[in-house]
Amino acid sequence: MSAPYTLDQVLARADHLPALPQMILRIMETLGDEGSNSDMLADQIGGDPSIVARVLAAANASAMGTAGRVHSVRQAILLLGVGRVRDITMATAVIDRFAAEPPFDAQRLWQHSIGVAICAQEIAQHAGLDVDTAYIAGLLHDIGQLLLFGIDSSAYSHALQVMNERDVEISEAERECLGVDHAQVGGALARLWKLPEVVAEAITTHHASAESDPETEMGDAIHVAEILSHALDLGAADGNRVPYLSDISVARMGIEWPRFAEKFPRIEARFDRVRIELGL
Amino acid sequence: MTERTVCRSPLLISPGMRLARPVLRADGEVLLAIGTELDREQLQQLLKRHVDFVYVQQEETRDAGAIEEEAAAATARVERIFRGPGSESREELRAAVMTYRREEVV
Repeated sequence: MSAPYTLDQVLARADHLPALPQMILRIMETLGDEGSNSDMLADQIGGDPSIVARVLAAANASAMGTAGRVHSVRQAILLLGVGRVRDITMATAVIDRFAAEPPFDAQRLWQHSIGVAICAQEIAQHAGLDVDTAYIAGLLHDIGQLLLFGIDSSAYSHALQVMNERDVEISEAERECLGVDHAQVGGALARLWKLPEVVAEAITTHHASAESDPETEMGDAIHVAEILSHALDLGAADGNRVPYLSDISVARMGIEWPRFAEKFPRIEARFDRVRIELGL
Repeated sequence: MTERTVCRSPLLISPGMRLARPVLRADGEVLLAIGTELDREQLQQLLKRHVDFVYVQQEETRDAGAIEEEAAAATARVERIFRGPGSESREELRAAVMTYRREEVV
């Protein structure tokens, strides 16, 4: 089989990517649960030694220059708080699971995805949406790129070349070279993985265009977060270009840029810190 | 010696740096006053309180020419990443980022 592909053909080969870590689904189930506390999180993480090691490494990076070393997940939660340990856990679980060979730059993809996840949390908080759902949707918004590359690395390499040579958006190059784009593929993959529909829909619509705006508020949040992360140059890719931004999405999120700019220093500081914690 | 104000994650601050703006608690009370010379214990306190960033004083080692060069490079970078046509809100975002980057340099 060769390009162009239909969405069904791509999904039939979803096993070219490893399965979503069960840890993500377990954590997603307890989000919004009032009783979800540090004990529950410690238990969820405790069963996975590789995640424990990464959470401790992140906590120790954060504790750098302060007292003592962090030896347990409970200590890490005390130092960093439930929210940050949960964010670190979800990020390390997906980063460690999904890799790719050159010319695909997986490190760059994860730096960008962390940037979008942080922007998505800030936008969600501003708009009164769930910040944890925004974080996971931001983290996984480009996962479709990894599946497309896994299925046909030569067609995907060609798409990367088209993007660079013609200075077009990656989704346009993907549709031309592979027949589908990573947003459609990522959304469908999220449904296959049984992630909440709100996450799947937000992934599907994160590249808005003049003809189509996102259809849900979480879709608006991820779309605007994607654009904001490019605008703040998070990850600072050489060929970075700020894509199309939907006026409707910005309005629905209640954002006025001159005022929202007060959050730019915090977004950049959080991005710097998370890169240190995750060793990205 | 002149100084300038920079915004940093507490993770990227060394003991001895001075606060250029106070650090406030969630209820608005002052946690650390402006001018505080941060020691290890206070940095640890900031991390424990999940403070994402603080403004500190940094010695200004650049001359006027170097500052102007940095400002020009920052402006050029924003223009470059916002290349091509865009919507009204993208244009407003470009203006906000441009202001932010120029203020960051000086």
